[in-house]
Amino acid sequence: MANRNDLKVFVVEDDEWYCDFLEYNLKLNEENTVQKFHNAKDILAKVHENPDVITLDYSLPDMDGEQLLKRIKDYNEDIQVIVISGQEDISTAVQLLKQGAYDYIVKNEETRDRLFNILNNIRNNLQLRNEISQLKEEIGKKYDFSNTIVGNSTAIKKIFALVEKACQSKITVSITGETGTGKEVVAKSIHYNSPRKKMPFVPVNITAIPSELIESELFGHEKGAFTGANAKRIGKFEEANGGTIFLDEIGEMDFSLQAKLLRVLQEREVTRVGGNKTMPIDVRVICATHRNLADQVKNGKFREDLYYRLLGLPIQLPPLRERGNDILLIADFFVQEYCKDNGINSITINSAAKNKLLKYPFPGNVRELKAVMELACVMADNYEIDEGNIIFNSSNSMQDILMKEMTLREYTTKIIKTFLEKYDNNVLEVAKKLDIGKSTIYRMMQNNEL
Amino acid sequence: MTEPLFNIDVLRKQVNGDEEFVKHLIKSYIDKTPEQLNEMKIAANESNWQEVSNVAHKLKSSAKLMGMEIISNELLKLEQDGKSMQNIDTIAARATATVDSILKAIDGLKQY
Repeated sequence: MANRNDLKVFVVEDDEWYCDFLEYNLKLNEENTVQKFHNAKDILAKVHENPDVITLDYSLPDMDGEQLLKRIKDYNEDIQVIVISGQEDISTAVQLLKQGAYDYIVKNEETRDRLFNILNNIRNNLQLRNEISQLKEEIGKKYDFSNTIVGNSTAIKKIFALVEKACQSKITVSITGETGTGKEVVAKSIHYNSPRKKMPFVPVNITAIPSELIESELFGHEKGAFTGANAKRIGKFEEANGGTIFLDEIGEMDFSLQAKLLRVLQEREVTRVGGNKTMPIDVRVICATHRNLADQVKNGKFREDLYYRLLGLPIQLPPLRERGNDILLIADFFVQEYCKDNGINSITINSAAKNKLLKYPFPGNVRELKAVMELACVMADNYEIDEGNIIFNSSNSMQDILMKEMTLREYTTKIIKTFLEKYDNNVLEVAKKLDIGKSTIYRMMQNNEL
Repeated sequence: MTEPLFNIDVLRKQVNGDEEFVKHLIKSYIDKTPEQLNEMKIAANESNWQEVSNVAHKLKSSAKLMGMEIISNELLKLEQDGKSMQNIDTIAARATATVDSILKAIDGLKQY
């Protein structure tokens, strides 16, 4: 497919004399291959050979041009049909163009030159299209499971099975997992391994967009919908039409917007802000959050109806520390990637470094491991990563906290504070997690220690 | 002096002056056209104006490229009139005359 310039042209023309004339001229360009047909029946029998271009005489003995055009286009929309007609009838021409003819030319002294121009345009178009499909294929390959999700632990194998199921259906997928566990990577690999892979994948991070703008960002807006809306804008949902929208950090969405989102998901149509026309959309939704949505629902921060609508197929990504030897596989994967990007043959990780990696809890998960490994590659001497090249910068590391040498009381306060933040000040939950009495926490709160 | 019935230079220009292919097209025209002229005559005799229009349409494109200016204009009129049933009283005569002109042109073409 690379760089193809050759065009396969079918000439359909009942006037044999004119057919010869067209064939001769088309063959002047050696990159064209030409086959001749004198009636509709013969061309329809060969249309499965998928020519790039068909030149179509409007008046054929056995079928009129309009009907034949429709049959060809129904079979394969990508075949470009140029209607060549003896009639200079504008309304017929318009009608045919509307039905998908690439162009309409009249038989006269200029037919030849116009045909050449049109074929050149088609050739350029095809080249662009080929380039796009090649690039898309490359992206697809990049997001193939085996290239994106690395590991063979039991925990990740369960994820593989779920992702595979998700690829085969249109079901909404909700991905949860700690920060850095690869929620977006999983979303992308579901999209690029699903039948929707040729359509857009549109990621939206709810927290990255100011709350007052998020509605127009998601659903679009009409010109003049609000101050500053000086042009019409399509939203992310429309952009993702036919493909997949990835709503990251869905747990942070405003309560009022949740109702709107629910409506869009239920009715499968969007209305732009300030508009009154609804547009049908066909979008697969994948959402992700690092929060526990069920708890958010309990606390009244997330709509229950939306929760169930979004739950679909839940995929809970395991934290890296629960994936055992995967740490080493992934570390190696990142090292290989670094080598490829920097034109280095190979860098190895020695066993002391491996041990250090296995002992570390990786609060930042895969994202942190990636940063650690990239730095290690830079620091490595003689293409070998040693213990000393593995540098953990995580501010949450136990080691770092212990280094601060606080009093036990101070440590206790810090621990409880951290847990309260994590569990949205749910005292009962925190007490349970830390295995202490809830009154201890309440007392500390009363004494302003927390 | 009457205008020539055909002008091979028109055709030459359309095939980049490839004499061999010009000859092929002329030969093919001489071989295939009489059959259509026959159809035209029959249709005119039977007052089948729609058919006159159809045949005229078919004859038109090649005539134009053969540089048969007068003839192709005449064919266009026949095509239109036969389709819209206008000037019916003269169609038969014009069709026969045009057939004769083309036969004459073919005679002329034979020297190439």
